[in-house]
Amino acid sequence: MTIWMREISRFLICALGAHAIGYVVIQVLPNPIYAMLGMSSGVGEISENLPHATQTKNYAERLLDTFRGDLGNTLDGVPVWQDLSFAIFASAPRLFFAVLIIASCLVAVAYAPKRVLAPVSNVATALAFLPPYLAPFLSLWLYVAVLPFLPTFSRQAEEILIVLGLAIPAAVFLTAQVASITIRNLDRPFVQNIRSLGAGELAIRHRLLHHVVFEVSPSLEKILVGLFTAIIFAESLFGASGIGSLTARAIRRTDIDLMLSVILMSAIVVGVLRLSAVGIRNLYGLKQ
Amino acid sequence: MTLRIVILLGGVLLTCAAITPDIIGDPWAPPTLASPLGTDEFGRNHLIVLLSATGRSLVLGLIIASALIIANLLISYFFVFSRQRALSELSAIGVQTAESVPAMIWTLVIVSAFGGANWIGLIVTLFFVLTPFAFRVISGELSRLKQEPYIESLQLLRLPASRVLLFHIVPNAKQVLSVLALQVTGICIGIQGAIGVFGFANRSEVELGTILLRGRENMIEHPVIFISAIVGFFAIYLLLYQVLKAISSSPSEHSPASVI
Repeated sequence: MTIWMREISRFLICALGAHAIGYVVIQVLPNPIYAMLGMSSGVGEISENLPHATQTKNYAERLLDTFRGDLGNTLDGVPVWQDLSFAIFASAPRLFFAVLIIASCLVAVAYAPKRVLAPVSNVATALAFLPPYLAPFLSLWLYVAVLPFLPTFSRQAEEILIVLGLAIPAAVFLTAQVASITIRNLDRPFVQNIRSLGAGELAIRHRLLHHVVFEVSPSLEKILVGLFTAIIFAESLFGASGIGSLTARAIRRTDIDLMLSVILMSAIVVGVLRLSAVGIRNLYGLKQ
Repeated sequence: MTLRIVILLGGVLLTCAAITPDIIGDPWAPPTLASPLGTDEFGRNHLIVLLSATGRSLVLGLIIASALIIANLLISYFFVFSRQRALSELSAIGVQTAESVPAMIWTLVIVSAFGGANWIGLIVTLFFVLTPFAFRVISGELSRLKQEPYIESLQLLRLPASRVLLFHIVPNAKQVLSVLALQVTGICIGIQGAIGVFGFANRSEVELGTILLRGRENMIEHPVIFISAIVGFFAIYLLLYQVLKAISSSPSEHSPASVI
């Protein structure tokens, strides 16, 4: 109970803290008027008069409104919750399939023959060195190269390539981690003991899968953050609507309400994953 | 043998970092003996651009990674060895708060605040964005080392903190620090390309991330730009991997007896 109280209070502090840091950072951004009218237009009375014409709120008012469920309006005058919920629904299937690919990689590596684990770990570590936007770049190139030959399936092809573009960076990171954990666990004395007692390779790997899940659980938030980073690139590059392109749009246009909402949403999701990781580790009996 | 080749490659890249590629002909000129990869969209010898960009990216990555690791080693040492539980709890919450939002969002927000991708803005951004990550990794390793008997005996002997850190903690943490340095250097090298996707980068910049970005735009007609940028990334990875492997595999264990 104490662990959960501590973790939940941490979750609340982190979510509100991220929101506050976001607000402070945004205050040093260029005036939103420049975003609306262009950088060269910020002269004379337009830039002086427009702030008075638009409603401005201090942080306390914004926070109070957020608690009331009012996330504000975008620069286009659309309620933020409306844009945000539309983007979440557009990105949800992509994220779901990306998570499926990532989970498949985890299982595939956990059950892979021992002789391939070291090369897999080395290749994955080398690939993880490459920037996360490379996979969406390659997906886009494949899309442009393949599209003329697949006119009927262009929409589906685009979606598949977006999913691949956002799943690959996180999958590579997880593959490197799972491969090194499995290599180490296979050499542990208890594995040699149960092997000498007659346990089959499949049974050993099944047992070790629990160890892998247990050890990888603190990285869940890293994987989500990796997915979030990749989705910003993938959706922006493909021009697809969703949470990634909405985030990029909010930053490009200095849309304060939208940016703060995206930051808060991200902090809440990461916090929930941290709580899940604590739950998984408690499930396996580790008291923190 | 491998290490010698790697050192030679590193020397070539560091020498090339000082070269500023000039415009030598028409944009997208075909390969010649003088320019084996042809020219880029600005009419520069692409081979020289690539070598110079790989060298500069390596230098930039190493400078930022070293500075970040040194700064975070000092901060982590203070927090981990301070013996104040509240202070370490506070640092943990601070790190978790910063890491609640993807680093890419913070990067774009700060770069946008600086009005584009100037080098000072970029270095400040990288420091701000990578500090929570580096702090978490280093403080985790320092917390592990703090439990080691030889560190406890050093503390009982009341040795100066600087000596403990420099001669007993850093040598034993070098495996973790090497991996961290590799990761941080990779992020630093790719950052220009990342912000370039959102229109914040200078396209003529001689830097690997920017070349990768330009390569993506010209991938169909001129795939050599894109492929060569990836080769540049792998060259840096292999170089750093071999060097850091050699550093981290050198003996470093400190037993209580050797300390006393």
